[in-house]
Amino acid sequence: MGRGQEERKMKLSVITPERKLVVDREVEEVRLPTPAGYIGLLPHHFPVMGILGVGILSFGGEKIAVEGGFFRFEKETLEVLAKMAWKPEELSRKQLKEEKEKALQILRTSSDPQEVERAAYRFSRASAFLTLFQD
Amino acid sequence: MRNLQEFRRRIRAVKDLIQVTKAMKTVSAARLRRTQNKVVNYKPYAERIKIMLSELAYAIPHAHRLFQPTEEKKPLLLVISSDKGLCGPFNYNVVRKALDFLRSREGVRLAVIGRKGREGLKRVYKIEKSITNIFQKLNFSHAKEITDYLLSGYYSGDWDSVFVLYTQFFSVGRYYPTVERFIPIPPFKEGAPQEFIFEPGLEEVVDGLMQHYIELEIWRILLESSTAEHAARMIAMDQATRNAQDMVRSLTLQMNKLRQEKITKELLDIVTAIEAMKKSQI
Repeated sequence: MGRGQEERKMKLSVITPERKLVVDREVEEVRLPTPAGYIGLLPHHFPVMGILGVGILSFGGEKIAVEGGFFRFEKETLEVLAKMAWKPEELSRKQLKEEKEKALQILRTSSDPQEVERAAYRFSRASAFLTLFQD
Repeated sequence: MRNLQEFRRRIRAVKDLIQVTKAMKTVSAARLRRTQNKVVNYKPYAERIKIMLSELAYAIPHAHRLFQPTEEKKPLLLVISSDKGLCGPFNYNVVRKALDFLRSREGVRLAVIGRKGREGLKRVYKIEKSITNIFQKLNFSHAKEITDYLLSGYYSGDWDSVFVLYTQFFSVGRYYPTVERFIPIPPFKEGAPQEFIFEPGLEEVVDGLMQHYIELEIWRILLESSTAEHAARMIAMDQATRNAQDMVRSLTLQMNKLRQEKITKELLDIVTAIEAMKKSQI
């Protein structure tokens, strides 16, 4: 009994070079950002290794904001190696909004290509993280 | 310092100083622990990244520019010092080692992290780039920023190799500055290749991992240097506290001697007076 259900679960760990956010959590589904967009991972997926984008990692009702890194799924274990990651309570909506506004301002006015590139990155990061606060 | 008042004032001043050095020692000890915690968390992460790299080593071209040995005719030296002083010989050792390196080679370009290193080196050598005030709130984005700088100059040919000078940490009492060849990097151990789907593609994953490997190495070096800095400061403050305590002891001793002398003198006066009175009564 219950065995069939167990098999539909996988283990998830989310770690960064600075700390461990999630360790061996049993989850049924994980949605994670890649540079090309979000992908969903379910148990029994073919082994996959990839680049983590900037955005929101979600699993079992929880959310974590991640910025770059890698992921590796094999043997029903998903390891998310994020360069940087934040729990929702560690981010401020107000600050993100200001950051988005500031980036937008630079995008509208600046002509320095390097500055524009940086601002575009800040803009997409802030926009992606802001979705944490929408339901 | 002939009178007691002055002694008392000095003893009080030194005691205040002890409060300060003791507090600084406690703060350094706490920071040391916090940094060591970060090292503990860094290790399993870096281990995972290395495993991924060894699994993909078969796909990394041996001709990759990060592996290619170069003539090292245009090296960049990255010096890691600290932003704050009062940490014993920590920065002095780093600067001295940097000067040795700069003297032993020609055409070295110099980049410095930490205010103390910049202050120590700017008068004797041209500094291309300095990054300061990162150690107070050290986080991984600093490692990214430094790596971006190192790699952009390497790929554009501004330098053909990177050496890093930092303080290696062995234990609280043992840390030495050391120079490591950083780029080009040694090839990775080849692990058993496994079948994976790559997202978005093998090449992108390999490139990303290699860049990340360098970021992690920079992160390790920043953490290690910062650990050694806190340890050095802790020891320096401990020493300062002890010196100040010795001073309080010797000042107190001197003061007591002086007081004793005064009392003896007064007693002598009284006894003489009594003797004189006795004589006059007879």
